[in-house]
Amino acid sequence: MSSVLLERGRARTRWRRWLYGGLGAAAAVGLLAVLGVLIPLDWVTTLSAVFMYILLAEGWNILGGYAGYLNFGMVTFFGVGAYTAGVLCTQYNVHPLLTIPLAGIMATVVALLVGVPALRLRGVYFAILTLIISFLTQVLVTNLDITGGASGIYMPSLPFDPFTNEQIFYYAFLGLMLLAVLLAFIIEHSRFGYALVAIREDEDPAEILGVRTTWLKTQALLLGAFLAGVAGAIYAFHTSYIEPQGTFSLDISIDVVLMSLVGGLGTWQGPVIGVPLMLVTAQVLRILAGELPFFGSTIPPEFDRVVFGIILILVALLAPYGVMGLVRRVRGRRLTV
Amino acid sequence: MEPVLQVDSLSKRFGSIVALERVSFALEAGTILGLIGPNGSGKTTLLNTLNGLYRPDSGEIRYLGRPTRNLRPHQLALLGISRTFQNARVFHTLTVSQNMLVPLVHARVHGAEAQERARQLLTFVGLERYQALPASELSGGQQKLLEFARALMTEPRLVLMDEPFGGVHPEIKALLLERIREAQQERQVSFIIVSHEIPDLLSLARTIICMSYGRIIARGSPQEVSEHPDVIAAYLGHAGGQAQTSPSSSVSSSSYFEQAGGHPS
Ligand SMILES: Nc1ncnc2c1ncn2[C@@H]1O[C@H](COP(=O)(O)OP(=O)(O)OP(=O)(O)O)[C@@H](O)[C@H]1O
Ligand SMILES: [Mg+2]
Repeated sequence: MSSVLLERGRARTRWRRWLYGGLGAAAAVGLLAVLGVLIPLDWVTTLSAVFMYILLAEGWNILGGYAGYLNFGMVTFFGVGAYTAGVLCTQYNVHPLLTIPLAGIMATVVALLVGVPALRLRGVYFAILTLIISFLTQVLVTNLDITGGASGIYMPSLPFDPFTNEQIFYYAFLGLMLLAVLLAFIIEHSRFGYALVAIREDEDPAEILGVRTTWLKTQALLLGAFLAGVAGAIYAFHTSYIEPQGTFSLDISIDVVLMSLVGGLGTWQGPVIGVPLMLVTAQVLRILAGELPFFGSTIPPEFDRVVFGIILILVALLAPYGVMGLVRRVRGRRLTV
Repeated sequence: MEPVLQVDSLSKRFGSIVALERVSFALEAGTILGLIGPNGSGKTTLLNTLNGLYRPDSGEIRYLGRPTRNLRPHQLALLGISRTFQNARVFHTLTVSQNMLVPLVHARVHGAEAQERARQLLTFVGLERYQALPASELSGGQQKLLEFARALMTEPRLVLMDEPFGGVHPEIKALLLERIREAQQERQVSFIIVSHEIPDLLSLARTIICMSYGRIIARGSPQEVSEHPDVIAAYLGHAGGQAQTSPSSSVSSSSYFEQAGGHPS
């Protein structure tokens, strides 16, 4: 009797939580959609970058956060996506819109080629291999003819005024980011997601209990690579010029990991919190620092790295499970290693 | 009738350590085999080899008449071999019911049906109240219960249990014993159960095998094995069936085995 009541009460709170969650999400999406036409140009650009990094971080999180495989290779898939769009568009006259899914597919194929051998390694070895692969692809792209070598590729520009241009990319990244967040949410509440966490926590028992661990990790990598490839393609059209040093910069890989870590690994909310926290803080501090006399008019590009480093140290000291770890603790759930 | 498991002359070495030496036995469907032996005698290694984690150096394992040599652990799980661990290995940040769903990740079972099966099995072991709790918040004994329920999720034919009663309160131990017997009798599940204490196995196992230094040194009914001179010698004369009923000898033998230090499984 009492347990029936208890169960009913629990079902009602669950239902209510979903309702409020849904309403909150709808409100946030609506707000972001309106912001695109309200805020000044440089903030449109900043938010586009935020959306792009959330997209990348959600993609990274599937393998890196849920399954606990530290992947420093996201920039490889991002770069492959950018270059696929660039090459197809400028050398094969493929319609720009069509190059975007093709970029995702190409990044997935590359992930399959590097991932299948790499995912047989565990722990530090996997992380190091992803670093090596990143360097190798950068070298490869710098030396190939089809990619334009070190001089890069000039992308065709959209036939609009600069402001409309920025808004188009704002909405493109916003839409894709929402899809990525939704995907992460679905994964987190599925058996696939539980099995990924099981791999992170104790891989041998997971396999013994029937989880095809290598295949699951590969799937997680491929999903992330597809998202990164698509992000890379849109980035390429956005910046209008791609070259190996910037597009394959290891900074991108590292930033994605840091932002996910700060937000909270293995939660769909982690990137949504961590990315804006870091990018907006860096942006605000950059503006403030511009006022200081000793920087003059030029703030060195390393400025962001210093800010990210300080945020990382603060998070490591104050919130070892990221911001989401704090949120869960407030909700009364204990997290243990 | 064909045995569930047929093990022939299985050997496994780790460097100079002989963990298994020409181990042979058969397991009939729906029966329980007890496995005892001092620390480091190869019990866990045997289970690890049976579910494909280790490859034997020589010998053959047939599960339902089929050689398992080239099968990976997850493939054996799919065919119906399930497992619990010496130190409970639950997935800590997952909730209790999420733990239950992990083995069904590839199963063609609808989500609602999988959750219903999880709920029933959790009720079976008395954990239904803890479904939404992270598994890390369960006590050690409760984690053993969760492992047992989780092992039944795939509706296995054979369950390998490594020291299910180790560090478990008598109350939970009694529940576990009863549930194992029910699973055996009502679902025709076969078990291999590793234990240090013969008395725990008396009521369950028809046959007990005693291992020492990787070899089977005795096999037979619980009574026969506990009276076997080699078994008594292997347990330093303390842990024979009769001797173990006296509390002092049982304490001294188990504390000896704690210190003897096998490997951390
Ligand atoms: N992965 C491994 N690598 C190296 N040696 C191992 C490994 N696994 C087991 N061994 C060795 O094999 C022997 C048998 O170990 P095993 O764990 O099977 O013993 P056990 O009977 O389960 O002991 P316990 O009662 O302490 O659990 C030990 O000497 C152990 O050191
Ligand atoms: Mg053992």
